Amino acid sequence: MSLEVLLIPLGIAAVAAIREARSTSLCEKCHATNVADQALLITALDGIGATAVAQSDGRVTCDSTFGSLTFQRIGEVFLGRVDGGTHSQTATMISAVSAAAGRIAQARMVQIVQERASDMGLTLITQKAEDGTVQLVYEVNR
Amino acid sequence: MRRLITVTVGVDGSITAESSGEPGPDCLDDYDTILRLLDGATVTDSRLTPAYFATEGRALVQDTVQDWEQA
Repeated sequence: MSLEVLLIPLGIAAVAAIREARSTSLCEKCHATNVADQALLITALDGIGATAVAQSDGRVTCDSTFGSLTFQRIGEVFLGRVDGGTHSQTATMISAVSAAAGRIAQARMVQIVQERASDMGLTLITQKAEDGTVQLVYEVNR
Repeated sequence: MRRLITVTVGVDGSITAESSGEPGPDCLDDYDTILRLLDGATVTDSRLTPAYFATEGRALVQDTVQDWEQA
């Protein structure tokens, strides 16, 4: 290898932003998700079976198997809580939402890469999925 | 020259893209290719790997020896 680039997909918050959100005490019972984009959050909530989803700019509420949920964007990151729940319940819910968002972002990114590679004339050499990770290898034709 | 771009997308959405093939300065062209391939993603870090510097070092030594011989 001679060049390595690390990236985050559209809608997922940068690690620094998540750390900053976790360090703030703006919301006593909120925990930070990994989500920066409201549309991605809505899709992730759908992924965990949430119902009665309502949203306004930067704020999302819904019902779920965890209970009633509220999310608010603080800076670049959405924070969320189980309304009236414990820290442990909120942490479990946030893990589920963040995992759903990650899976959605992964699927979207793989689709974007496949479409862009086709447009750019790159040749797919191998594609494999192991332990949930997807790897695509392309040959660059110069 | 055969060059490969390897894109790895984690279950959390994190992405690693690596170029491989004949190492050296040509790999910098791959950076633009990676950015176009991963449309919409944000770069959080990038680095040249030891393979790049190994080739750069060999080229520098070779040039220096040639300069010395010509002097």
